[in-house]
Amino acid sequence: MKHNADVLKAGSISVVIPAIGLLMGLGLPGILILDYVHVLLAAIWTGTDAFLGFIFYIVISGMDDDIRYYIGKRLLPMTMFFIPAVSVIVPVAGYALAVREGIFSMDLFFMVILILSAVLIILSYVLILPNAFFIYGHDESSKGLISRKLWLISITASVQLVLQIIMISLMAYIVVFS
Amino acid sequence: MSNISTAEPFSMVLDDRFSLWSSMKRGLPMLLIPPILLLIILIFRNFYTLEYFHVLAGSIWTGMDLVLGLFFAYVMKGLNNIQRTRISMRLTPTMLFFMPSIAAVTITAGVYLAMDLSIPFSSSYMIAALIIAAVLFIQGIGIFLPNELRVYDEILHGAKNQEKIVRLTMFNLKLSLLQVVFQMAIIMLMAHFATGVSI
Repeated sequence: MKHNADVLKAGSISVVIPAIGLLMGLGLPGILILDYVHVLLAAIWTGTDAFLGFIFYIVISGMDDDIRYYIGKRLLPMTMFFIPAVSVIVPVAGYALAVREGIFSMDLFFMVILILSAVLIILSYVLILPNAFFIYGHDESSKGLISRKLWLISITASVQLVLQIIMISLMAYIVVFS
Repeated sequence: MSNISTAEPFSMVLDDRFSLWSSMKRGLPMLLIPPILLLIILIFRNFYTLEYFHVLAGSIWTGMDLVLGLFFAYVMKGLNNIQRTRISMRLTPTMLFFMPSIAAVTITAGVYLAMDLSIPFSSSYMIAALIIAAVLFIQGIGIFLPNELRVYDEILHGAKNQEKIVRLTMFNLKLSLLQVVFQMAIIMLMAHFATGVSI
């Protein structure tokens, strides 16, 4: 019970800080803060997925379910709160930035960006969040299942990372050629 | 918290799959691939690819530091020393090779990008960016890397000193969080370079 309270507390902070950043970016005039919030949160999200899908995969492979269970529980602020939050905040900030800069249009290039963003959000809310909820709601008697859910989260993060690598190439294209 | 029996032989409890060869096999590609990619980009000198590489490498570096310093430190705090040591044994060979590599290529690509953009090295924004980059580099090479090497050496010698492994690993996780603070500052300067708006 105490652990769940800790998770909710740490998780709330993981959501509130990026949300405040977005509100500041949207509320303040100009593009500097909005650009900063978009780039910083996107960078953190990409690094998070790189860690979860790449380094973390190596860390938990070969570990027993006992340790994976505790890791899965302690990672909940990230998997249940931070990733779903930035999955929405980053594209919203990016869209607002493109509109504010006057470069947004419904052409093929931005359609691809919108589709990739939608897929990233779907991955977060259909695969990462439900598995994180499962880990949150189950205790030590479900160690084996929790361990499998952690694997699924790690694999989903690696898929997100691939999509983000493609997305960053499109962002770099905008910066260089727009 | 742990159900791992401490009556088991210590080396078995920790990780019997760790070896110099296995960590090299895993770590060397992480050490070599980023600089090789950067070298190829610099040889062909394509501005778009250089920009892409700098942003991608910088994103991975910043995000990983935040995960390590914030979320992973939170994970480690909830574990006992044997569990922490086992995780360190997995994490250290990877981080030892990957983090210096990704940090070095991000900074190098950034310097080349600044030269391509003809940003004067005497501008106050550029001086601030170079100072922060230098601090990050010194932290990485002067503190992070030696600590990782000490942990790595300890693991290679049987990981008998758990306290040392855990202490140095936890210190490096805290250092990662400090690096994030500097990275947040440098990204603000990058936002200035990207938008042209004064801070």
